[in-house]
Amino acid sequence: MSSSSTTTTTTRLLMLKASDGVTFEVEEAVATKLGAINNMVEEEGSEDLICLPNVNGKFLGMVLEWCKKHANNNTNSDKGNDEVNKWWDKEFVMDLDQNTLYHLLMAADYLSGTELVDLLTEKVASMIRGKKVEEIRETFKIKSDFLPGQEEEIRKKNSWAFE
Amino acid sequence: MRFSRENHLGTEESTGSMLIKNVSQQEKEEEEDDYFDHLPDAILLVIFNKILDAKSLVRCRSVSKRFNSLIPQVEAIFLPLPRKIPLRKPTSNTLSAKHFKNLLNNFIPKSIRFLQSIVSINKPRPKNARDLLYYSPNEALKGFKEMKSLHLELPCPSGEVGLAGNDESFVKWKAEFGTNLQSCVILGANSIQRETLPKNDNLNKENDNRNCESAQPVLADQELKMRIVWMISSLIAASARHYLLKRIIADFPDLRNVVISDENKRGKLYVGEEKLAELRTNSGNDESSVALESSLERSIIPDLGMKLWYVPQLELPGSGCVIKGATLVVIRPLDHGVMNGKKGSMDDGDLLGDGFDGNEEENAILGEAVREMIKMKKTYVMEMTSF
Repeated sequence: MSSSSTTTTTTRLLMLKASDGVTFEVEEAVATKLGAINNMVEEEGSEDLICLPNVNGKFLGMVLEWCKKHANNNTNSDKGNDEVNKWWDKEFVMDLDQNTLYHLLMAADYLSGTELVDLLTEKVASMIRGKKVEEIRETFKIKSDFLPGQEEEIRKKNSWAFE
Repeated sequence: MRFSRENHLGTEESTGSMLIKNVSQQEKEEEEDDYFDHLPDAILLVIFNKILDAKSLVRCRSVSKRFNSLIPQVEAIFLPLPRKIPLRKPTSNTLSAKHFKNLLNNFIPKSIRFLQSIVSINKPRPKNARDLLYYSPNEALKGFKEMKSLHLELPCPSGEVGLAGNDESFVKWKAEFGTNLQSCVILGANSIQRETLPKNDNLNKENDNRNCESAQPVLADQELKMRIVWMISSLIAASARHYLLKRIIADFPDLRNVVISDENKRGKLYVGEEKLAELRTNSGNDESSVALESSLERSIIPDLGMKLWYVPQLELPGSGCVIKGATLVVIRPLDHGVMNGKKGSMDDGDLLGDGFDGNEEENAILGEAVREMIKMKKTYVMEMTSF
């Protein structure tokens, strides 16, 4: 087998089309970090264009950026790679605003990007941990829908957590 | 629209302006939206299961109706035992305050406190330490009926010390329980110091040889007494936690694994799924021991076999530490079969791996210490009757 033929077979390119029509050309090894795409590739075999009507181009781009970093880091498998991935993950989620975080999480979940869902849910959890109720509502723009008295009752029953 | 991969993944600037339009439109549409109400329950639960901290989770219940209905389904909880503000009068929901205070005193063995007060000069204990009140774990955890995994952290009101300082004696233990004690490993030292080890290899080798090969190191009476105090107080602390555990699991049928640690990361009790099931089946079977345990406020310790390793000065090149009076104790019940049958370091090795409570740095030091010591000859083998 010549070296040129191996490179052409291993770098199959997929076209991913987002809900707003934006398309991305990505290597199969990158896109299959996403479980949903991995399944589609296995099922449909030769089909190189994949439509993703539930994901907007901006967020698909970010998801693929994450996949690409992790796919690249995984190929040169050194033991330092875990550290690199960790550091990069930290950077990736550091300054995400709630809007982006929400849409990324929805996109990652829809695409079955298990590791990315893990990363993003941990980020959200860290935004809730140790916060007061009002702070949580403000951070995530949640309006209380309790009837008068209901919230007080919950607080009273669990007074230890509100002291 | 059709862009090449370069535009999107490579150079952000070139696509930035085109994408901004999309995003700003979208943001306007969703500005008033409650993003979290669009997340499916399954994802919200994944998030809640990562919070761990019980206090934060309980607070979440009063955020919204939906949060309130999902929180009770959370399966993984970390609870640092919450302090009770003394001004409030005790409610019927809490354990009898006096009773629980006694129980807590057992977690922090007095003898260790006593030792600490001798060896640590600069850390006075808060005067009112004994007057602090705590909620019972069952009270704080009552909203998590479906909990599967619990990590309870007990408070240490006295000013204890850890690995950080110098010239301080140091004890850590970890214990595994089922119905009874399965194993307990204790690592103790007169001091752990960070040191640049001298480069003179020959000299070190001579010292090493003297330590581990030629004459067995002998513990002076006073030193041996101190080690026995370490063992007994660690065992008492572990058995008090086990007693508390039995009261907790009765209220939580789905609970599969429990860790009970303490604020100062001194000791860690672990009960896994299999042993927890065993404990549930056997708990309360023996009425006389139930009565005795409730008077002791701890579980009864079975007859024990102990192996003790002692190294007067243990040098750890890996972590750059010198441990003085390094002591490793492996304790198992006599009827466990291990002491009589397949003795050996392989078997102990399974126990020792890791699992002391503490940060990564501490664990690296302790791990290295244990690996070094287990290679050497045991200094003592002892037996201890049930207490």
